[in-house]
Amino acid sequence: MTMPTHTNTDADLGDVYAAIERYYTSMITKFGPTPRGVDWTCRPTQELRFVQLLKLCSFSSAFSLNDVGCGYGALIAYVARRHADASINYLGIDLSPAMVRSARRLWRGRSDAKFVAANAIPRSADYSIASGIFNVKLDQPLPRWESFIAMTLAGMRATGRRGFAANFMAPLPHGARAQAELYRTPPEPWIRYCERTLGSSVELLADYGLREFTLLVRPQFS
Amino acid sequence: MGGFTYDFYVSGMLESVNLRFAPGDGIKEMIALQKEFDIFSEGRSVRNIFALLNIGPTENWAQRRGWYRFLSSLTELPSDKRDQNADQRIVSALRAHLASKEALPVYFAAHASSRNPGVYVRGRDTPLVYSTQEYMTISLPMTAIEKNREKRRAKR
Repeated sequence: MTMPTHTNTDADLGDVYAAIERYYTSMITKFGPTPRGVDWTCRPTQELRFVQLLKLCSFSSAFSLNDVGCGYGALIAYVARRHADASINYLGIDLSPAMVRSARRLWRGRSDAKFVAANAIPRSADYSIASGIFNVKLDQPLPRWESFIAMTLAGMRATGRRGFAANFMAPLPHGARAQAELYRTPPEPWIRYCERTLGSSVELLADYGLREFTLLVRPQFS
Repeated sequence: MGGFTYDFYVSGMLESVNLRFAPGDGIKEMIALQKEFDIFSEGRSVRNIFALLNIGPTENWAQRRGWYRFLSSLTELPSDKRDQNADQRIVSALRAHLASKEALPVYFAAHASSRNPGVYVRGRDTPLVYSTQEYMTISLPMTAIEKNREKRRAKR
């Protein structure tokens, strides 16, 4: 893979957004607000990813958080258990209106959590995170999918004041058969993209028990 | 599985467990989950742990119910440790195993309850005749459904 470029516009990515929306709407319709409903194996594997992503955040004081591709808002339950004292102003953003409806129903008692169906991040926050949103490529051509990733990361960079975090599936071992609809990548191209194009510093988290890696990306202040 | 589900589903159910504890990514994931969340811990049942890990049939609800009824029945079965029932034995064996320095993958097998009515564990085993891969084996006692039916008939 070469250095990802950021040449597409939102209009070019309309097909990508529509395909993602259809896919996750079908998942939440079939499985409801459960890990399967957002295409994860189970709650512990989902939460092991949250553990990594939230290493970006400082829990010593209140902060705002954008959860990009929030699904039904599983992160809220995890934070309530693991960081019960944390004060977080939470916005969940998802392409699927059905997913957002499900999240609003589930968390209707939480005044500090809001959800919006959108293909762009509508507000600035201290941090933005994205869990698993780059994994299921479906039948999108690779260059278009990588443009989608590049645009999404750029959006997270533009709106995450203190940084953003995202995870990616890592390549399978040599000889293993990869599923064509999944996107796997080594970390280096996306580290370079975040450093050079987005002007950020990157911390790589890997070897945490899942065949994937997490990038913690912080702005570089000159 | 003693009438909890159809015979022909049993191998698929065991396979779904074995995939989650398989050599490579499977066992690595399980070790990491145990380290982070202490999933296999005293007081938790195999049924609840497997439900949390979503191990077992996911789309056929009749199969899923049968699978969880079988797992629930483990508390009533003996094990190769005199002071532990089958459920406690599995949880404690996996807890110790996943915390060990170089945990082997885990293979769940079945044996005839007529030969051994309880769960047994082998710490280092090569259960697959077509592989030299070493595993920790956990073998579950199972009863042929016809025998259960015969017993029920005899009681009438």
